[in-house]
Amino acid sequence: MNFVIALQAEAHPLIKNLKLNKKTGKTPFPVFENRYHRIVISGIGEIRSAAATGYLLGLFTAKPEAIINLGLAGHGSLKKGDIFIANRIFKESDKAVHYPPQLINLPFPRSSLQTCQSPCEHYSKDIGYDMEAHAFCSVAYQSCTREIVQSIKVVSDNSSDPLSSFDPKTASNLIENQLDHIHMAIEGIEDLAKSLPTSPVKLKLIEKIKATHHFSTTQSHQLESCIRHACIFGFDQEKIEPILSSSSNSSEFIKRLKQAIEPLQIIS
Amino acid sequence: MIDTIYYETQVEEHPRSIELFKRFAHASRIPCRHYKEVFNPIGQNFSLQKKKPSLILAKNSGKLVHPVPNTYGIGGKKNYYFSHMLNCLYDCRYCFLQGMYPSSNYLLFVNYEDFFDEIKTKTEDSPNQKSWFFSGYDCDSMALEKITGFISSALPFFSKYPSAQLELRTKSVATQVLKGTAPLSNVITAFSFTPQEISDQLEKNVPPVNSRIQAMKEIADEGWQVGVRLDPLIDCADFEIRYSKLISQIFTTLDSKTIHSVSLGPFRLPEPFFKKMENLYPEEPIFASKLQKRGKTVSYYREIENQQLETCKQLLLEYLPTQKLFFCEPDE
Repeated sequence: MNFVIALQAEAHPLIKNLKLNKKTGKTPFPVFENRYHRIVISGIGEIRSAAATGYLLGLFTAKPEAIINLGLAGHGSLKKGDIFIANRIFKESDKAVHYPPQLINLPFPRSSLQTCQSPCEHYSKDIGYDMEAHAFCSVAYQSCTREIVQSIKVVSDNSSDPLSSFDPKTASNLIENQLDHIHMAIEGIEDLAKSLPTSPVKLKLIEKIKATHHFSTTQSHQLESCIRHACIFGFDQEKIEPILSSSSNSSEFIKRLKQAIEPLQIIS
Repeated sequence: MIDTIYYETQVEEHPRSIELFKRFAHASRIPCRHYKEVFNPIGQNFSLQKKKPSLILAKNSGKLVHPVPNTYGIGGKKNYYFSHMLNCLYDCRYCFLQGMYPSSNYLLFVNYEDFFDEIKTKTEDSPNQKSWFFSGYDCDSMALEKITGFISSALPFFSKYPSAQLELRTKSVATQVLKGTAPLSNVITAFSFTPQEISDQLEKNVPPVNSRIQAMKEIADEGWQVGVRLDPLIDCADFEIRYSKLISQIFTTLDSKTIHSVSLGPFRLPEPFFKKMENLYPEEPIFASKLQKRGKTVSYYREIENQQLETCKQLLLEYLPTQKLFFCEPDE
């Protein structure tokens, strides 16, 4: 799971809880990570959030990865310390409204969230107010599956506890108190990410075949398709080697492999 | 069942929206300016959303009734389709909706009366011949009737326009709406089938073949016209045995005289839909079958397709006169 979090104080409880280490070397944004999780500290505001999200996307490999934008937010009706997941994210100056798909059941509320250019002190509507989520989604949606991109906020201020009286030292406590809920969200979103399909093609096998003959771009696609079909229908991979070694070029190999697989290509 | 309802603000006060808000009182309600904001964005995953589809309530303001390709139809000359709803309760692996729409949320257009107005206009445009209106292209006509109430709204309308023929296409057994109503001779309820073994593999959440045949018999016994749709035909081991068993099951349960029509259609998908579906389910055997691109369409090899159609045709002609048998040709 990946996180984009504005401030280190907001990230601290999760860094501690997930036992993350600061990435060494020069990075454009502070990064804390272990084998399974990664937090990028973006800084406050849309531009920083967008840039940090873009940087995070650049770290991804081919496999689908989930991202949560976590942080504090104001809210028009929820109590200080409450947690919510954003189901509609908008900003006044932008026509684009984001609707993060709501597929996981969580024991805390969903809410609209308005991303503002400056801290909001007027909690006029029954919605959340933050400074990053819209930009985060705008960038993350460029290359991630929307269902596994979510924004989760803990209420730091509202009309009873306005921002003017907010003590920044309490930021970590507010997040820490919601760690159980945050973990539920992580689990649910990760389950979705895991259920995204991955190709059954054995990449090593393809590399080995490509090392034997020259394959054009079109032939490479044909080869991958052929190997995928072979995997789906349980074609014995040991039979591929003799076809490969007795084929004089890539075209012949593809043709013969297709012929060998064809009798299996039927639904049982 | 539904725990998120998106709604266009323009339909917030529509009686059907209000009814649905009441019915799903615990659902989160999320306003939007236009349904396309929710339904159309790229990057949504159709198969993930199938795990828990949301409901989108909207008004369709565009053209509502569209012509059907010439190669489709069940005997009529004027053929149209309309979609009061996009997406389906069921999850059939071969379904083109997976390739056509970016979202699997249920999109319901609540302005049924506008559909009826356009159907009325089309009907009156050709007063001397029957016009056919197909409702089950982009959704199952009947499966979500308890939520949509579309059929109960449509039946009184069609009762007034006997030259307007309505096809309801379904895999549902929820036929209560018809059972409680006097049969209309211009409404055909067409049930789609694949053999049970194929349904088990490819048609998630669809009631068993036997139950559907029984549901078909029950409404036929009440006087409703019914149809059988073997579309798409799926290439499978023991094709002839399985389809023979299916056809025999149908015609030993129902008197063939009660069957209005049977149509056969080969498996065919526009290539872009096929590619999207293959990406959604890269391990799915149906997309790795003996398929080829023909024109703009991906279909089984021509010889397989011809053999399937001929086999089913011969099996059906044992029970049906040829006038009741129709073929949906792919648009190549």
